[in-house]
Amino acid sequence: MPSGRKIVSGLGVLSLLCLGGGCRRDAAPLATGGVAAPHQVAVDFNRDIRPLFNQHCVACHGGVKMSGKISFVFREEATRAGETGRITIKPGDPDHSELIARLTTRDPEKRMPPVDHGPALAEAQVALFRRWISEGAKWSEHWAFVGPKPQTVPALAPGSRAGPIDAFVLDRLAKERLQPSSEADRATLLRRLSLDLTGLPPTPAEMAAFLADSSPEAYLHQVDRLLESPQYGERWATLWLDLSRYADSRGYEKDLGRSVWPYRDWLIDALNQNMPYDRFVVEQVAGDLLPNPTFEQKIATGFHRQTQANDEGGTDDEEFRMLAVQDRAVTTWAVFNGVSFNCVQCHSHPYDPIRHQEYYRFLAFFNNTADADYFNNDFPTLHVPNRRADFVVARELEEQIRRLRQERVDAGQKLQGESGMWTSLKALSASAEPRATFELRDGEVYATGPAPSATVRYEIQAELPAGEVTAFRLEVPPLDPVKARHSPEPGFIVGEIEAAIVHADGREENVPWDSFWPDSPTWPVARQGIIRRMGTKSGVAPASAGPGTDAPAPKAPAKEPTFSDLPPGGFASIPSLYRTRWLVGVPAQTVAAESGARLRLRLQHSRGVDDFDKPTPVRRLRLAASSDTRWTRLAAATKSESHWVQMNQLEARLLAIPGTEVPVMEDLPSGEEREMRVFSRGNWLEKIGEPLMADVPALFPPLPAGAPRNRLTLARWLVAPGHPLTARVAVNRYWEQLFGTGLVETLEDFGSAGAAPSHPELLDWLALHFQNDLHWDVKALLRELVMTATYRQSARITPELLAKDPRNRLLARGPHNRLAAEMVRDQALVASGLLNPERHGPPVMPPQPDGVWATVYNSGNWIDATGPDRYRRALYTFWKRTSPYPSFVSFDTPARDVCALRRIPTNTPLQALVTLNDPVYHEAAQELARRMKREAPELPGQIAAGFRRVTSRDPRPEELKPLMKLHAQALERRLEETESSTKPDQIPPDVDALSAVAEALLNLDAALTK
Amino acid sequence: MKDRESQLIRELETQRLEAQTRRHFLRTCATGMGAMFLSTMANRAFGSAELDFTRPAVSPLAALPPQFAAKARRVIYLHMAGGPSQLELFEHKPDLEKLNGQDCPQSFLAGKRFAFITGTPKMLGPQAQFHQAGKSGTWLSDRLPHLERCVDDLCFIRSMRTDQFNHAPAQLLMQTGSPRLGGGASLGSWVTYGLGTENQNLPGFIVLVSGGKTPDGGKSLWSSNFLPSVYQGVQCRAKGDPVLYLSNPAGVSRGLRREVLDAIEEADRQEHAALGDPETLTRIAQYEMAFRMQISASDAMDLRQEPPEMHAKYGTEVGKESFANNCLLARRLAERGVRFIQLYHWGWDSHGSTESEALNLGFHAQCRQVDQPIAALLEDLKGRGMLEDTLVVWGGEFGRTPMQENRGGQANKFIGRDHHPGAFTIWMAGGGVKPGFGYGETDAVGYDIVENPVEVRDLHATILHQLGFDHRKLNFRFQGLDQKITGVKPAKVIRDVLA
Repeated sequence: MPSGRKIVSGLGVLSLLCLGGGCRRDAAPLATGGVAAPHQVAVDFNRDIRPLFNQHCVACHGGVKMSGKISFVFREEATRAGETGRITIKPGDPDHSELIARLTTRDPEKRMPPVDHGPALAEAQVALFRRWISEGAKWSEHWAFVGPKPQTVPALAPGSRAGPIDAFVLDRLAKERLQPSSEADRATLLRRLSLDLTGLPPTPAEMAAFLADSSPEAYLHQVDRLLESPQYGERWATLWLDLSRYADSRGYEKDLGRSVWPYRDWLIDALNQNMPYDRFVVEQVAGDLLPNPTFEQKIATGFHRQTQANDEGGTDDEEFRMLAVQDRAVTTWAVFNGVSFNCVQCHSHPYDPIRHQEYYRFLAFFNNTADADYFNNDFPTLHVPNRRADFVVARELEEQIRRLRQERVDAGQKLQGESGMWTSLKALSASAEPRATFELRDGEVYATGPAPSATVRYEIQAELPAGEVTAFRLEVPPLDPVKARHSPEPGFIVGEIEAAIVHADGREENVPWDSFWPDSPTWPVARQGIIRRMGTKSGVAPASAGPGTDAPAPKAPAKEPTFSDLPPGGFASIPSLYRTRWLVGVPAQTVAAESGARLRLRLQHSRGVDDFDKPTPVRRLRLAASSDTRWTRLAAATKSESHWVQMNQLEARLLAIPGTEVPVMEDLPSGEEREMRVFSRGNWLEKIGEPLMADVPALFPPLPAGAPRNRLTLARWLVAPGHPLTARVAVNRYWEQLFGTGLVETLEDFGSAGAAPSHPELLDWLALHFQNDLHWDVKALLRELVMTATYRQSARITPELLAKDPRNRLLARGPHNRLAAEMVRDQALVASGLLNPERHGPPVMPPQPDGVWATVYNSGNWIDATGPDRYRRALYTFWKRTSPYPSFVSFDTPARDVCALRRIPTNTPLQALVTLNDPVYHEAAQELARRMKREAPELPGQIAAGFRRVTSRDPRPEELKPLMKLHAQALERRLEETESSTKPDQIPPDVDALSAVAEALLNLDAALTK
Repeated sequence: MKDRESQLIRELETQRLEAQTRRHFLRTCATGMGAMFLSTMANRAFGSAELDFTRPAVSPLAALPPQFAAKARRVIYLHMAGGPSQLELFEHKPDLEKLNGQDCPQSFLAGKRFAFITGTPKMLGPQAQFHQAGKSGTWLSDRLPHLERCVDDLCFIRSMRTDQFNHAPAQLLMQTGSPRLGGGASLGSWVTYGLGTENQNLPGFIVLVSGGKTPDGGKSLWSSNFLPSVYQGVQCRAKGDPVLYLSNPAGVSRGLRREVLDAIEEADRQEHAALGDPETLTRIAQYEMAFRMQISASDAMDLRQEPPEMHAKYGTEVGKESFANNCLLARRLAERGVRFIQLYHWGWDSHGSTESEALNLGFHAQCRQVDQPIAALLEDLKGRGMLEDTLVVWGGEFGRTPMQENRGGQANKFIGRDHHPGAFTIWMAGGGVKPGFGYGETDAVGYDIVENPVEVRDLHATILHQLGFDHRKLNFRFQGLDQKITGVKPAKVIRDVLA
C-alpha cells in the first residue's frame, strides 16, 4: 500500500500539509476502495489490476520504454510474446503467463520488479494477478475514458427532502457510518456563499438583510442575487485566467508587454452573461472559425494566444512557434479534458492508451495559425476599439480590408496560374554587395552560402527572349520543397526590386514598375509592424505602458521611399519559408526586348524582422516572363485607385478608432496549410513518417464523418454528447472551487495515474445532468451545488471526523478553506472601503516594493498607481510572467507560464508578512480604523463593526476581549510616543490604536478563511 | 595496505555522516514535531525504494534526513548569468591563438544553429594570458588572481554541454531541468523539498541577485512550479527589505507588533475551539515564525555585523547591491542553516556589441567583480570548517564560441564571442568533490567535447548525490508522473569528480 495512507490514518490531531506523492495517494479511495480482498468479488481490472501495473510495471513496460518489448498499456501488447518469445499474459492460463513466472521466481536476476526497483509484490497481489488471468485477463478501459453512465439516485429515508446531490453524499456517509453536520449559522453561510460566488465578502448591509429575512427562500434569494451580481464574472474569470495562462507579458527573457486584456474582459462578460459552457469552450478554441464571427468571438480566441513568445536575441522563431502550438494542444487536453498530453510528445503515453503518433495528429489542429513568434509582435491581431459602440464599424473596416486584400490576390493568382502563361528566364550571372557566393543551376540562382549581411543586395542577370514582356514573375522556392512543407527553411525579405533591360548593344534601360501582384493574402502587412526598415528599432513597447494608457497605437503606414510599388511589407516570407512564394511585377510599359537583350534584376534586402538584424536573404530564385496582355489590362484597371492606397486609407481609419491590438487566432488560408509529421523522439528538428491528418486519439469518440479537420470541428467535438471527459472535468472543477477539493482530487489528471473519484456515481450523475438537463448552464449548476445541504453544512471538525476523514473527502462537514490570493486583497479593500469597483480595462499597477522589476533587456518600469487604479480588484493587476506580483505569489498564485490547473494552498510565514506589512494592507487597516470609528460611538461597537466587515460575523466575547486589550496597549504606546515626540499628530491616537486592531482583524484566521 | 586504510577511513566517514544526519534529525523532532512526526519518518529508512516527503503542516520546511549519507549539507550556487567565456578563464587553448583571425572552418558551421553568428566568422584567439597555478598545476587565466589561491580546492568540469543556446531557456534548463517557463521546479526547490532546512526562522532556499538585472529566466528560475509554493526561492535584497515585506510598516514598533500577534493568537484560539480546524493552529505557528523571521532575516542580512577585515577580504561595502556583498551574505546564511543559497550575477554576455560586453574591455571589470569575493567565500568557508559540507557550484548557462561574433555578417564593434552550448566549464568546490581536479576535455580550440561530456541533468544528479539523494528517488507526483529534476532521459552521477 502507498506509504502516505498510514500516516493519515495514524495522524491524530496533526493535519498534514498536502505534499507530494504521499498526498496524491491519500486521495485514493478511502475505506472502501483500494485493493479488494481476494475471494470476495470478481477481479475488476480498473480497480485491482491497472493500479498494480501503473505502480510497479509501466515505468519500464509502458508507453515510454517497452523494455523487453512488453507493455501493459494496451491489452494486445500485453497478451503477446515479449522479446523472450514467451507470452506475457495468456488469458485463462496463469501458469503459462510469463508475468506470473517473473513475479514469483526466486531467481533475483529474473524477478520482477527488479530488486533495485522495488520489493517483490505481496502474495495477495500476485494472487490477484493469477485470478484475473484465470478469469480471462479481461481488460477494461480506465473509467474516465468511458462515458459517464446514468446513475440511480440513492434512495433516502422516507420523508427526506434532500436532493440528488445530497443523496449521493449521504449514501456514502451512511456506508462509512458517519453523520452529516448540521447547517452552518447564517452569517457563516452568507460569507461562504458571497466569497465563493463573487470573490467578495458580504457587506454589513447585505448581511443584515439576510439575517432579517425569515422567509424560507431567504438563502435562495441570496444565491440568485450573487449569481446575478456583476462581481460574479470577475471572480470566475480569475479561475479562467489561470486556465488560459493569461498574462500581460509575453514571457522569457525580455518578457515584453502584451495587450491581451480585452480577452480578460471577454471572460468577465461571457461569465456574467452565463454563456453556456459548450459555447464558452467553442468560442475560445475556435471562435474565429464560426460562420461570420463577431468581434467578441474573435477576442475569445485570445484563450490560445496567451502562449509565451520569446523575443530574446538570436532565438529561432520557428522553434518558439512550434512550442506555442504544442502548448495549445496540451492546454486543450489539460483544461477541458484533464488529460496530461505533454509526455506523448516524445513517446506513447506512459500509462494511458494514447499513442505517440496521435499526439501529432492532434497537434495538426493547431499547426495552421498565422502567428509565428514574431519579434515583439503578436500578429495576427484584431484592432479592438475601447468603446463597444465602435465594434461594428471596426468590424466592417476589418472586413473591407480583408476583402480588398483577397481581391488583389485573387486577380493576380488567377492569371498567374494559367497554363502557358510563363516562359522561364535562365539566369546568366549573379553577384551581390557585399560579396556572396552563388551557384547557377538549371537556370535558377542559388545562394546557399552564409549570408554576408542583412542588407545584402543581389544583382541577377537573366536571358530575355526576344519579344514583348508584360509581366515578370519572381519565384522563391525552398531549397527542399518537400521537406519545407513540415520543416520550413529560413524566410526572406526583399524590400526593393529594381529591373532593367541590358540591351544587346550594352545600353541599359530602367524598367519602372506599374504594380506588383502577391500570391497570398497573408503577405506581411506593414500595419502589423513585423517588418521594419533596416536600422530602425522596433520601438519596444515597455511593459509599463499598460495602466491608464493603451498600448502605443501602431503608426499608420507611411509611404515608404522605395522605387517600387511593392505590397506593404515587401516581398517576404517570414519568419520561415514553407512553400514556393511568388510575386508578379507588371512593368509600367510593356518591355520590348531584342535578341541578345538581358534582364538585370536588383533585389535589395533592406529590412529586418527584429532588433538584431538577422539576415533573411533569398536563397533560391527562379525568374519567368509573360507576354500576356491581360497583365497590362489588369494593372491599368487598378491603377487609379490602387488597392494599397485604399487599404492604407481603410487601415488609417481603423487605427484612428482608439483601441488595442489584441492577439487572436487566425488560420492560414486554405492551400497554405503546414504539414504535420511525427517529431522523432519529440525533437522538432527531425520529423519522420508520412504527413498526418488532424485527428483525435482513437481512445475517444471519432470526429463526425466528413467534417473539416479544423479547430472548429475539434471544439465542437469536445462538447459533443458522448465525450467522456469534458462535462466530468467541468463539474469537477466547479465542485473543487466550492468545496476545496475535487471529487477527483487531481483536477489535472483524470488518467489512470490520477486520483480515483471520491464519489464516482455523483460525478457521473453531475456530468450527465450538466449536459443533458442543464444544457451546460453554469450558473444553474452552481446554484444547485450551493443549494445542497452538503455545501451548507457547518465546517466544524469533531475529533472523530478529524481522525476518520481529515481532508473532508467524505463531506460530512462543510468546506472551510483559505481565501485565494485575489480574495485576500479584495476583502481588505472592501472592508476598508478602499475598493474601486470599476470593471474592465487595461491592467493596473498597485504598489509593489521598489526594484522587484528588473528584467534584462527590457526598459519597462512598474509605476505605482496613485489614483483610483491603486485600489482595483486583484484580477486587474498587471501580470508579468517573470516577475509576478509578490504578495499574490505568497498566496499560491501560479506564474501562468503555462496553464495552471490547480492551486495547492499553503500556510506559510511569508503570507503573514504580506498581510501584516504590505503597504496595501497597512493602508487598508488605517482606513478600516477610520470607518470603525465612524460606525459606533463606543470602542466595543467599533471593534465589532470592524470584525463584521472583515469576518462577516459578530465577534464572540472571548474574541472581543483580546482586541480590546490590544486597543488599550496600542493607545498607551501611542500616547507615550506622542509625549516624547515633537512631531505634530497626523492621525488621532484613538484611530491609531484602532489601526492596530484593524491590522489584527485583517490577519485573523476567521478573516483569511471562508 | 594503503588501499585498505583509505577504505576504512571512508567507512568511518560514512558512519559519522549517518550518525550526524540522524542525530540532527532526531533533535529537530524532539523539539518540534513529537512522536507523530517520528512515526511518519519510520518510512524513510535509508535506501528505501520510495521516499516520503510528508511533513506536519505546522512545519513544511522541517529538516528531513537524506536518503543516504551525504557529503554536502547545503549548496551555494554561483550562477554567472549571460554565459561566461571559458576561453578567457579556464580553458587554455594555445592553438586558438594561432588561428586568430582566420576564417572559421566550414565543418564548425555545418548543421549548427547560432544565436547571432552569421556567415563565416573568424576564429578568435584567447583574450587573456594563461599560466599554471597551484600544486595541481591547473591552467588558469590571469583574470582571476584571487581565485588562483583556491585553485587546489576546485574541481573543474570542462566538458559541460547544454542543448539550449538562448539565455532564458538555457538558464531555465540549468536551474529547473527544463528549458521551458513552467516546465520544471528549480534545483533549490527540489533540495528544500527533499531535505527541508535547518533554520525554521529563515527561508530554506534564498536567492541573491546582483549585476543590476534579474537573470533572463526571471523569477521562474527559482520557482517551485508544481512543488508546493513553500519551496520556492525567496529573493533577499540589498536595498529595501532584505525579504519582501519583512519590516513593519512605519509607526508599527516591534512591541506593538508583539501585542497585535498576541491578540490574533488569542482570537484564533477561540476560532480553533469553535471549528476545530488544525489549519488554524498551523496559521498561529506561521505568524510566530514570521515574527521570528523578522529578526533572524534582518540579522542574517545585516553586513554591518561583520568586522572590517572581513569586508576587506570580500571587498564588500555595506548597503550596496553587489556580488561581493552577496558572497558574504551567502556565508552568513550558510552558517545559519539555510539549505540552498543561489546567487545570480548578470553581465557575462560577452558578445562584443558594446564596450561592457567586450572580452578585452568590460570583461576585465566583470571578472574583478567576482574574483576576490569568490576567493574570499571559499577561504572563509574553509576557515570555518564549512567547506567540507558546503557544495559550492560556479557556472553559467552555456559557454562561448571560439569564433568571434559577427552579428549580421560583420564583425561586431568590439571583441566578443557568441553563445556556445556545445562546451563550457563549470567548477565545484567542497561538499565532497575532488579538489584540484579537472574532468572532461575539449578539442584544441575548445569547440567540441572530446572526452567525458557532462549533460546538465548529470550535473543535477551529481549535486543531488552529494546531498544524499538518488536523483530518481527525489520525485513528486504531478500529472500522473513522478516528476524529477533530471527528467526522463537517463542521467548519471559523475563519479569521477567525487572525492
